[in-house]
Amino acid sequence: MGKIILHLDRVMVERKMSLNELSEKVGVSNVNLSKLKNNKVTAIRFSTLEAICDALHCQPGDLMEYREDEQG
Amino acid sequence: MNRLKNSKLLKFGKLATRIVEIFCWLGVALTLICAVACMVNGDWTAEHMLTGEPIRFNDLTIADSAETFGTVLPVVITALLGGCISLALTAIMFHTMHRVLASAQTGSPFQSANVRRIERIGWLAIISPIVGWALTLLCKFILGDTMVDPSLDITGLAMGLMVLILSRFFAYGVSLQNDVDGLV
Repeated sequence: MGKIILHLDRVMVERKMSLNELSEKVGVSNVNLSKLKNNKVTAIRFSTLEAICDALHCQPGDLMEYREDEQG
Repeated sequence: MNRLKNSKLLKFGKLATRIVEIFCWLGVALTLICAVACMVNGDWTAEHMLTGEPIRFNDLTIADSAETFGTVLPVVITALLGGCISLALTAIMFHTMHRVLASAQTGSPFQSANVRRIERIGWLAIISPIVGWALTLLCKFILGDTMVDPSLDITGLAMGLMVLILSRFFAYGVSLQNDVDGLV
């Protein structure tokens, strides 16, 4: 089975937004946003995703990608 | 989580399990000393240990007086070693319980280590009455006493089985905890 890869770091760079700024806008702690940036999470709430998309003016598809397992 | 950490019942449980564990280990040491004393010098032990009260092990009277003590020395030694094993198993069980309670005070109780610990408690609760029963049978066999029926502590077995089942429930709790920990 493949896995979901998050591209929050890339979108943040494109939007020139810092982690602190995003944290304030989204209402999620720096620690949890850092986990999202580093793909250390196993699940994300719709409310969190909505808030991030709202703050970064992007679509969920911009933030995440499904990557198939290399071995098939 | 703070409510769990500050729970008085948890603190009391930690203290109580530690105290019981210490007493059990003391019991292990004492029964071992008695068993060794019996092996080294049975007559001396009979003189100094028997106070007129009969020696009993799991509802089985082993020796009524100092006169009969010498003749049933192998049974006394077996009973002492059996008591030592039972006490050691109980001590390990309480030590494991203490570690489960301690882990709940430092973080979430739903850890895979606790699943293994609770499983161990369940097995110990099952093994302990079986060991006692087997040793009673052995003592009866040595004494040749056929009048007393050996009884197995069904309550202990049932409790052990229940704890084993609870460990499976706990394993499910651990998987839910992992989901929650990874959720943002």
